[in-house]
Amino acid sequence: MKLPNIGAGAWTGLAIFAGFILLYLLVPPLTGGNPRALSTDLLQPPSPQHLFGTDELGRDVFLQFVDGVRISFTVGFAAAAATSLVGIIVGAYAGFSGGAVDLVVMRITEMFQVIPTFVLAAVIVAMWGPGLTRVVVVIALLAWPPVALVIRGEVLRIKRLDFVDAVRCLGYSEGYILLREIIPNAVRPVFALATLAVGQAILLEASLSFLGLSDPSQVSWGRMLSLGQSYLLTAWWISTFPGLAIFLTVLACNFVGDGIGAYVNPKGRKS
Amino acid sequence: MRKYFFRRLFWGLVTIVVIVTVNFLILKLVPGDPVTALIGEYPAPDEYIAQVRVEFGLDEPLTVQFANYVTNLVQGDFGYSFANRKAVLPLILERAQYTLQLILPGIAIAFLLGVFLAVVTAVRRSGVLDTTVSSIVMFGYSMPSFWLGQVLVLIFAVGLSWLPAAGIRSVRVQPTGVAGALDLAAHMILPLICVVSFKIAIVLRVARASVVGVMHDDFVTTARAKGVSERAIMWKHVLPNAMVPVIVVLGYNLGHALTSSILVETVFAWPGLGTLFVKSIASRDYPVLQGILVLATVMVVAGNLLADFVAALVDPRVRKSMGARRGE
Repeated sequence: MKLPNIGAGAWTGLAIFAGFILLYLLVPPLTGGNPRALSTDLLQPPSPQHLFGTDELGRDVFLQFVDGVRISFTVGFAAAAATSLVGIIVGAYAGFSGGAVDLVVMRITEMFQVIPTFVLAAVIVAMWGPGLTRVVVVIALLAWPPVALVIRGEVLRIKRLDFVDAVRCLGYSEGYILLREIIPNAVRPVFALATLAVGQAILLEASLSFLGLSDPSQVSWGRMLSLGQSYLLTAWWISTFPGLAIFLTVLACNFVGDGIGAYVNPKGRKS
Repeated sequence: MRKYFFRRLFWGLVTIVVIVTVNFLILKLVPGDPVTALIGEYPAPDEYIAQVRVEFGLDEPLTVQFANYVTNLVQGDFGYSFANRKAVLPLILERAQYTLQLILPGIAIAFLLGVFLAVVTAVRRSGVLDTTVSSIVMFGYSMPSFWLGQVLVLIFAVGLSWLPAAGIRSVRVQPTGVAGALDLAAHMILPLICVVSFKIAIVLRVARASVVGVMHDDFVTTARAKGVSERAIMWKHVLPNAMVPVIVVLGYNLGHALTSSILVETVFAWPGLGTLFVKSIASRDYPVLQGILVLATVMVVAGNLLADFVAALVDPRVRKSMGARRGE
């Protein structure tokens, strides 16, 4: 099988993803440790027993670090999927309908682009209480405009192509044409945006957790950073490792997103 | 041109109205009785609850409450912060000045340095400098600003003891005059690095792509054929023609100036709007949160409008495309 030419950066990014997933799958069965288990080893620096040290309640930072993969990856991928879905529906509807519908939908899209996403997300989560599903819904509600704009542009272009008229002549309904013929041909650029959205969602979740807007019963990298902030001067290991994890994951998403973007649209690669 | 501007202004105002409405509805849809939020979860006599309800207009229908809310907003009354015992608007404005003190130099540095590096790397594409700069850009773009802040504190404040870890002024001795300015500068360096690292990544990316695009235009070949030096071609011909996307990003950044440093301020205990925002989240001070959201939206709309307007002023092609759009 020939591998797609998405560039070395994108492969590095995929390797980072794979590394985190492997850690998450392998570490708990191998060590049998509980990331939430308390111990009397309070604020211990990294050592062979505690690879990344322990926090103020004697919990193992490495085990928490590994457990944090779950939250970040779940939020990242779920939010990116939801964002893409909303964006595709809105963009395809606007582009295919054209005319007044297009104008109104695009105005609404512009409005959503102006909303200060992070502030509104923080306000909503602060008022409604934290929770993973809520965070995903909030991100999906606020982050879809770029996807919608790209899909709309593609749909506008594709619906004028001859093959669409050919399908129409075969007697298929407009809904069928949009769903089965136009959208599948228009979604390619969305993959790049969706990968970037994974990174943005992980960053947003971590930022909200850093501000204390996270579920206390879940271990997340942002939450670890938030707790680590109080012990920054005495226990550097609590926040250094989860921060590195967020950085590497977002970097991986950006690498993969750029790689896919260049692969899907080779004309843009030269610049 | 003027028609275009007014149309944008109109849609900007519509956006603000929509946000204000959403803002109002979010508060109304919050689970729980607002009276409980006002008086706390104490057993209170029914007459007192009824009195509070009337006092805050909570007995009125939703539409009347909304009308009151909007009227107050327009008159500059953003409500009262119980946690700070102060009216919301003066509180926000007071904190905003500290935020701007940090953000505006950050934006200036990011843009000057970003555009300069974009031009330099566009000329020598795929060179050592270009590769280095683009890796730094990728890193700056992916780095959570709050974590970068923590790492900087660990290195420069905890490890080397070169710079203060937090705050805006030294607490024990409070120098004035030149010493005071130096003290402020020392406190600003680390947060400023965090602010700049993310912004410069975006500026560089946009500016470099734009410069590279313009470099291949015909007029550049013409200038070269006329014997204009490469340096003059770059700075006098290419750069001005590549500025529009940069101006758009600048407008975006100015629009988000009030809220883009929330996380950095939290790390460094910078006494700006960000710390106020985070404190208000912790104390459930909804009027302050809403006030910040409304003000932030107004700023974003204004920033975008300003960018559109400036772009049209400096680049005749933008004016032309507006005319074309008007005719569609």
